[in-house]
Amino acid sequence: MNFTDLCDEKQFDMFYKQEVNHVFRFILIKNKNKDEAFEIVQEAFIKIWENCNKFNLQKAKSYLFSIAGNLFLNVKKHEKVVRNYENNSTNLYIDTETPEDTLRQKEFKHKLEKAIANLTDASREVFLLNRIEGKKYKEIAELLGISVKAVEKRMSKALLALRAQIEEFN
Amino acid sequence: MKDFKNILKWLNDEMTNDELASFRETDDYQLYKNIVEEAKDINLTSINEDVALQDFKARIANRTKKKAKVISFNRSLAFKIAASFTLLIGITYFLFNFNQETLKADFAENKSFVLPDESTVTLNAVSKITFSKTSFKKNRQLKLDGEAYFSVKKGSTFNVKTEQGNIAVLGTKFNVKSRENSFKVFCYEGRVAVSHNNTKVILTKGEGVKLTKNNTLIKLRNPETSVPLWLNNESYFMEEPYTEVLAEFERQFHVKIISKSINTNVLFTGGFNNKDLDSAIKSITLPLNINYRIKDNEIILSK
Repeated sequence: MNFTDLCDEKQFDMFYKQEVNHVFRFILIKNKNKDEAFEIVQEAFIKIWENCNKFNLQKAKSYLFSIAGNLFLNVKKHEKVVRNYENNSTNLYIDTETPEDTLRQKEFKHKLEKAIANLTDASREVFLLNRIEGKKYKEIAELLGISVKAVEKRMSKALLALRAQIEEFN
Repeated sequence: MKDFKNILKWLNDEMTNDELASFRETDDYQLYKNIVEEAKDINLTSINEDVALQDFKARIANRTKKKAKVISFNRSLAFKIAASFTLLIGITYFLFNFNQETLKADFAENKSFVLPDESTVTLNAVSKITFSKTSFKKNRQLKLDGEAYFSVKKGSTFNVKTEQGNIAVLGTKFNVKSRENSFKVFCYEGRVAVSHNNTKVILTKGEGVKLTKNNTLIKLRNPETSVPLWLNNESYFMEEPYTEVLAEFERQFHVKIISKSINTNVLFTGGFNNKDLDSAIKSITLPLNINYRIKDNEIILSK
């Protein structure tokens, strides 16, 4: 087994940059608060860094998501998010907006966002991981520790619910 | 529910060009085209990777905490030998007491049995069932201590009694977990009646219940697999107390876990492989930033 890769700072930085947005959005999808999500992401990376000798890059990736997921779970249950480091940088978050949208498109998007927010947590997570993160059902299944069938079920539920809400719009 | 097969296929990029062309002609496509395309660039915040990395480095620098040294190990062979030894003892240790038959699985093993009525049962590690040899066929009733998956032959009522509650079925497949800190029943086929104190819940395929700390039965999310994961040598936990995770680990590997110096009052989501101690211990400690040390048959956890 190759344990050395991740302890090399350059390699770790690469790993960080490559994964940070994926894991950030993974948590953001569960919870809307950016600051909380960012805290969790940084904590998870610290844990990977501190244990860099224990696994190779491939495994680190799945542990990263699993660590972040568990942090999220326990932070949420105990409702104590500790901001232990003040981030005073103003350009950390990038909110993407497409300016050339027509008014009707904007309206539609707004409606869709609302409909997505109304989905159950389980359905929303699966739907967004597929649509925004472009993940295949198999990857989502591995990430969430459920079967592909279950992913498809949640996806179908999401589609059905979205359609019901969007149809009124058209 | 409507048939989503094609839409699901489309969203997973599994369609061939031909399939895609004909799918584009359907009403479904027209309906969903906008939804899935607009959803792609919904305003989900991203973060600036460089700024985030800088922030990360500052945090690392701020951490003066010393890393605890972890002794790496490879004892899986020793454990395998220990496990087979236990198995051997387990096999020769069938208890025939009067009319009572006891079937059990020891540490680090699963075992399947065919009952006198041709129903089958698979016991997870450290579990046992007891029933009357002579009257079982007439009166299908047994006691369970631990976790078991039952596939019941159609017939008269089949009763499973546990410390925490009773389960009654006709012919079905279901899993019961009855441990010190955990009582859960999942129905994989047919119908299952679970009673606890004075409450009774009927489960149908895909449903489950568990007993909460304040002694009430609550419905669980779908099991989402066609058989319990432990039958495939995986232990999986969904938002469950860490103490239960450790207890299951002890049963699967026949080790003692010393957890005095860590906070076990947390919830855990994740799982471990029941056959590979090395990866299993990592799976349950690394996500919570816990260090471990192996000493003989003991695993000592520390922060």
